[in-house]
Amino acid sequence: MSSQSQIKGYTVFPVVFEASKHTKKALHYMFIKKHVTKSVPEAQSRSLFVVNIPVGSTVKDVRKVFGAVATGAIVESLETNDYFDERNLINYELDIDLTKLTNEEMTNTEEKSRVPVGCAVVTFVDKPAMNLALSAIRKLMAASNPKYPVWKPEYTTGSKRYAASKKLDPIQLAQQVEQAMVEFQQREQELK
Amino acid sequence: VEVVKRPQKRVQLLAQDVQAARETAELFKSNIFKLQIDELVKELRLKEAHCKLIERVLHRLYEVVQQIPQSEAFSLEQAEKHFAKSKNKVAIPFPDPKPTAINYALQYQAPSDVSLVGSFGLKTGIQQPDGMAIDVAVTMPKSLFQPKDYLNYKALYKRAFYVAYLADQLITLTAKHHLPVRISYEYVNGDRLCPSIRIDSISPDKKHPDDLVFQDTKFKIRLLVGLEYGLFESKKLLPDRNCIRIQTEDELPPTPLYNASILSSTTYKYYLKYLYATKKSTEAFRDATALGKLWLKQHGLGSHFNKGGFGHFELAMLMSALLNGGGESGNKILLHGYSSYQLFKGTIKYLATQDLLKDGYLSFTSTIGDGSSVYKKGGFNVPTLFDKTTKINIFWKMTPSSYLLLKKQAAETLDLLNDVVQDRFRQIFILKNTQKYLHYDTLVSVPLKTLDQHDKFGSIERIMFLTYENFVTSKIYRLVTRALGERANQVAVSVSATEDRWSVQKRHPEPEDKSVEIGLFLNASESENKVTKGPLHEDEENAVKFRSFWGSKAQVRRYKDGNIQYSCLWPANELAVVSILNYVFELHIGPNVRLEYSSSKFWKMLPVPLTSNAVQLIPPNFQSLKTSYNELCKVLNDIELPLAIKSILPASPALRNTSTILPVPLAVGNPDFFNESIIQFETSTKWPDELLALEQTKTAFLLKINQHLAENTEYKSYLEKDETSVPYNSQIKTLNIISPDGYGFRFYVLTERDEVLYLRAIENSSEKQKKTVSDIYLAFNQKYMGSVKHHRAIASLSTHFPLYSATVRLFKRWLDAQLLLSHFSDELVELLVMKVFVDPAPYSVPSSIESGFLRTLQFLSQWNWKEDPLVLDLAKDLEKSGNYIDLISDKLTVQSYQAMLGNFAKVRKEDPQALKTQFFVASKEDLSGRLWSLGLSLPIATRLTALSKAAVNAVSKSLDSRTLKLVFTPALKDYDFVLRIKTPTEYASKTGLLLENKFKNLVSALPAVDDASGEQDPVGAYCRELRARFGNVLVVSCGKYTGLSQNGQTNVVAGLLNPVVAGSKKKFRVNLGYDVEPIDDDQLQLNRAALLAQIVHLGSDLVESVDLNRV
Repeated sequence: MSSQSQIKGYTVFPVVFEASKHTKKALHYMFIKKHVTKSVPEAQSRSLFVVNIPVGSTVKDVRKVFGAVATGAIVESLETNDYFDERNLINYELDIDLTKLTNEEMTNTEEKSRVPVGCAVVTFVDKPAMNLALSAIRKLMAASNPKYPVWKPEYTTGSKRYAASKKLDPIQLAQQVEQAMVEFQQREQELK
Repeated sequence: VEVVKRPQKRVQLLAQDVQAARETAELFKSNIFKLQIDELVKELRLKEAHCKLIERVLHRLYEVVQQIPQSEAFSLEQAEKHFAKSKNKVAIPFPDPKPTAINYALQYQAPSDVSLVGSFGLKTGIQQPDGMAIDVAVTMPKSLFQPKDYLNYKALYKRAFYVAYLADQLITLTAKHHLPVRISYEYVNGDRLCPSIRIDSISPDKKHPDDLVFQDTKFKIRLLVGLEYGLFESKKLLPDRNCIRIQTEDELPPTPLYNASILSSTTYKYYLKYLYATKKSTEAFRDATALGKLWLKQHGLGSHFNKGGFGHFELAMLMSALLNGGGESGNKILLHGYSSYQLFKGTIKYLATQDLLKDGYLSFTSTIGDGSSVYKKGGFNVPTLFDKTTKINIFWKMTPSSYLLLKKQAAETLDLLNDVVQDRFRQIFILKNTQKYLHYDTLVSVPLKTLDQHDKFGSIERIMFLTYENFVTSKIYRLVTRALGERANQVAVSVSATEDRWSVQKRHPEPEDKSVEIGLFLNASESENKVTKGPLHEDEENAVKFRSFWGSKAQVRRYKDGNIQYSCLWPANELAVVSILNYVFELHIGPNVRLEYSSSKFWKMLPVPLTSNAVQLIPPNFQSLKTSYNELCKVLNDIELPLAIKSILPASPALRNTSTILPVPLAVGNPDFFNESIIQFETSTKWPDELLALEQTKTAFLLKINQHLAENTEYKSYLEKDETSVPYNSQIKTLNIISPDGYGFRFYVLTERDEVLYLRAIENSSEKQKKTVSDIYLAFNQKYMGSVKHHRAIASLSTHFPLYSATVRLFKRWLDAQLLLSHFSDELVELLVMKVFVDPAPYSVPSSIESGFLRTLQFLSQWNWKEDPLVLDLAKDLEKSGNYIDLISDKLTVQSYQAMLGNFAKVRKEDPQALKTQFFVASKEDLSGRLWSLGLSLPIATRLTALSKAAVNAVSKSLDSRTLKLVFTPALKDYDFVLRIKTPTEYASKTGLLLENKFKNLVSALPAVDDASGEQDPVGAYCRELRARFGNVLVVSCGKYTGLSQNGQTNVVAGLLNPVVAGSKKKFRVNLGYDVEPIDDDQLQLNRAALLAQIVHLGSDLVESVDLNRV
């Protein structure tokens, strides 16, 4: 554990994993900074870039924790990239798109911004909300006896999670497949 | 492929080509072999310094012997009194029966000769881990004997006294002459008629500067007390003569063991000279016998009665005889100019192919310079290498059983020597086959005292067999051979190893608690037949014999073919071999006999299904599943679809008889409930030319099938997402079907476009991407193509090797008990086990579950994955079918073998420390060698080796139920943390297993389900998620089948931190990919507490407790 509040320009944001029947209370550390890209310069950004987000985080989880830090810091959306590589075959450093690699012409031209593995982009309703969140966290870190927010994920766990049905709804699936096929054919037509 | 117009000529040409290639390869191999052999022979040479020291010892010993004074001519009483009075209190090692009154004198006179004999004398000795025995022959002078002393033990009693006197004197004199040694008695090669004096070096407490201590050389000296050559008229001692006269009304039986023992005592020096002459005339003889000696040693063979009676001496004598002839017309089998390799191979070939038991025998003369030998038709039913000069059968210590074993081992070695594809040096000379549990298919042991046959060991038996043990083993051999008939290929009966050495103060060794050990080589296709068929009902003569042997078990039965036949039926819930032996031992030996089997313990380790507990090599569950599968395939083939189904190909362990858990209807908790298959559609130009769109099209087809099944059949089906089979391909769907009879099947779709597109992806990928995209292709290949080829190969071999199925199932069970199974693909495990079936050397093809299982462990414990590629020849053994075309088309060729070696070299060049790829397992189905070990991490591979070693060690000490239980218990302390899992419901019956304490009749039928995915054992999914999320920090292991635990509800998830990640500090980086905490301005480390909290949180109610060993 460390009282470090800044690292390489990122603000350290600890959250509490409460003690459970089998584990002690633990602190989990996120590292945050304003999210800036080529298309979204700092002046327009209302997102925070988060490093080391807990596994399986949902927008609800994030909303709760930022709400706890500052009441007005309302989160609009969340984009994450969980590490999920069962067979040690995925390379998160590379952008591999099988569509592009098998048929470059068919690739969707929309640029997909990709969040690095284990990170997230938290978008707030507006810029003040984001600023509020950031400054509240900084204040928290500077406090002499800080009370870090508790992180309580929403996802289903245990036997419910692992014995859940994996049955796909055939009607929904059929619609989805049909849609994908239509889109594919459209792109094919366009190319001709 | 070019169409062959004149097939006949083509075949001839091909045959010639192959023949030429064979010869070249043979020559080439012979050269490599020669280099290896030269190296080996050099390594085997005795150390110069040791030999110098031992020569000084021998000189001193010689001087000591010369100083021994002559004794008086004692009567029996005087002799006994003499030793009783002396301070060393030696006993006279009289053979049984001990003399009570004799009318001749016992005396010691200076030996007429003392000389070095045996392999040290011949200078053919080799280094041996347990030391080498140096034989010194001390010849008793002729003057002590009468011409008739060969009768009734007379010569032997005289020698026993001579030995005792010598021992007594040596104890006193060696001490005086600074030769600190321990003197004991030892039977020469287990021959109870022939005691010798064993001399071992000791370190005295106070060492005198003149003391000669040779403990470090590990040499030991044996003084063999021999008789003058030609002392008795040798033809009186021919194997068919009687030399022990007893009072009986019957005709006196021949006493071949007694006769040969006496004659052998006269030839110690004689045969040394004979072998020396051979050595002089044949340059490579010395090296060839060194090779032979090593071969014998690695196969556990030796001159000792208990080691088959065929050792270095017998081999050297045979080789000498073959250098002088050996053919049916006396033609020479071996030539003096042969290399050591050729001499060795020629001798092995002779042993393997020439019958010296029934069909004929080898007769030779040992006259130096005038030797001849010829194979003569008409054997004696005892293994025979007969020396016409001395009238000794050199193989006198062998039994028909030990001879047949030798012949079998020689035949197996000959096969290896003839292998033109792979180098077999290691299997022939380096790998040992001396562990009895590994050597035989099964071992049955019977405590000697429970046999209680003393009242049947009368005076006639005594002179024929000499010892009670010989008598009992011979009786058991006959009984077991008769009872098992075709079920056993070979039967070996021996008394558990005993120390031949004993204290000079005792007449013979103390009786010990020995066991009779029955080693069986089973005939896999017959051994478990539940019926023993006998003669036809009307064949009265044979019926009497059958009934008298089988007693009340012999029943008359009518068979489908109309025959009425005597038969015995054996129970279904026990191994037939076990039932039969228990029965015949009780019937013919006695009610108190206790037989202990290794087999049954191993069978008990296999999971018992809800449906039946019959012991069957291939349980009927597999057939029921196959029938159901075939029905379903028919249904699928008949569905009208826009494109017709071209083929449906299975790729599932339960459909090739290799699943740990037997398929049971509606056992939806079994993680392997759904049996996978690949559906291939007809070729079409309409498949999209882009991978993910292609995947959508496949899904459309599966949806159509799904709909058809729902509307028209009793089959329940649904689609599921497959996210892991091929990484980066997020659109794969499978169709899961539950048949009306309750079996589960899962279908993947393969089109002719898939491979093209994956290969195109590799082509289009950037330099950086190439490695990952190639792995994607490999993962695809695994799932869709490799799995099918593998299935086909294993399915066919699993019917070819009847014990493969049970062995591989038990091995998977063991892997699971050790928390390893979930790391391995079924395919890799199956190939590892297949190794001991298709490439069994130095053993035979396993024909029992324990031989298969233990040899797999043994192989894994010794294999060096870093250095050695495993190349399997998955062709069925067609050599014996004689179908030459099949042979050359199917067998592993030199070219493909070289290609695989090349691939291995490439893999190791990229990864010399074998960090990424440990296992290289190649076959004609996968030349790359890494298809099935893709992504398998180094710690898992090394753990497999370590655990195999531990298991083999445990088993080699004792093989009782406790050891076996230990072997199947995981070492949880080795992990950093262990989560004890308890599932809310019981998974044993849901998995189709019978809980240990439940009875079959109390089990209710499993309920029907529509959606099996919600019923599956959750632990596997939990473990997989932990691996997926934390795989870069942790190795996560778990039991694959919760249902196999004692109560069907418990399991463990164990984690081992990656030491590189766990122990290091990292600079701050955005995409480290694992949970970190800051430690200073710019460094981070693994946040263990948060990591564990997240792991436990995911498991939630499944986690019952957490053991932290090192976190």
